Amino acid sequence: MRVSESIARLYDDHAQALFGFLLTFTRDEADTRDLLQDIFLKAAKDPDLLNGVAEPRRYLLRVARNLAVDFIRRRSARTRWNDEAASETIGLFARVSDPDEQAFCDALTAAMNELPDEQRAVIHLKLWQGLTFEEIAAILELPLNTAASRYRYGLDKLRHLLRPLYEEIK
Amino acid sequence: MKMDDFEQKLARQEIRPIPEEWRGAILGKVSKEAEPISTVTGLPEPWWRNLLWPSPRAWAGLAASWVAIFILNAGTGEAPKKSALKEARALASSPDWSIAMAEQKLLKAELLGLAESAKPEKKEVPQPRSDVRTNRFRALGLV
Repeated sequence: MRVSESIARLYDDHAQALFGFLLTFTRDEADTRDLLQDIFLKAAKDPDLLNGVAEPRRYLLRVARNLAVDFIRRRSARTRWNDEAASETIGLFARVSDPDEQAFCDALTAAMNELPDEQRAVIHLKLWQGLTFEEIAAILELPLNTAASRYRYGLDKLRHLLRPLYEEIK
Repeated sequence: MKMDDFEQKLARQEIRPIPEEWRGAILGKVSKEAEPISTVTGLPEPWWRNLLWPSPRAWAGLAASWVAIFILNAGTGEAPKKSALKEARALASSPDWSIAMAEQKLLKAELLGLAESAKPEKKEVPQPRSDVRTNRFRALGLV
């Protein structure tokens, strides 16, 4: 199989998951695209990258996490990326027709932006990638208990921020 | 660990889909960068192009200077010197050359009045061992 074909298959299998994860980190579509491109470029330049990897999705999420952390560090040094900038970013979730649900989605995006990066990453991997704490700990290179506690703290904060709206539409 | 209602509500929210146009753009860019295409031939670039990639002009300059050194080296007469040396060696090893040299030596000696010394020294041939012993006995007065 040619490199371009194998990369295309890799893209079809994992790009959506990587996109969501990277968007959670960067909160910016253009930056997410650059990082996503970097991941596939890395895989194309080293065709043996995924040889012997049991779970390519997990491996790629780990690569994505490392690239995102480096990127955020660079961005912080280069510009003042603050909450104002974050609030102007695009939504994390697909648009829905129900206005109440859409309001909840928007509120959820805003609440996610309130979380520290490390809590946001754990919440994303747990809720929207459906991973276990063991898998999350491996991807984020954390002790298992730390991953679980970050999830707990993040979820409590989301619960606190979204409770009024959640109670209303429940 | 079982999720409560709130967690389930969050988990049901769909992450927005990746823009479709990204696929072509990203894969196009990736294949272009992973397999660079020559702008001249439209074919994948040869492996040695990558080897020289960071500074092709510097490498070309280095190669040109080596060619110049080679040409200069060839033009300075190094090769004729070698052939002259070979000819001289061949001449020296020929019998005519030896005879001519011997005659010249003799002539020189005659001119300097050293004809005797100019004669070639007689090579001392080792005596048979039996003669050596006899001579020794003779010296001791035993024979």
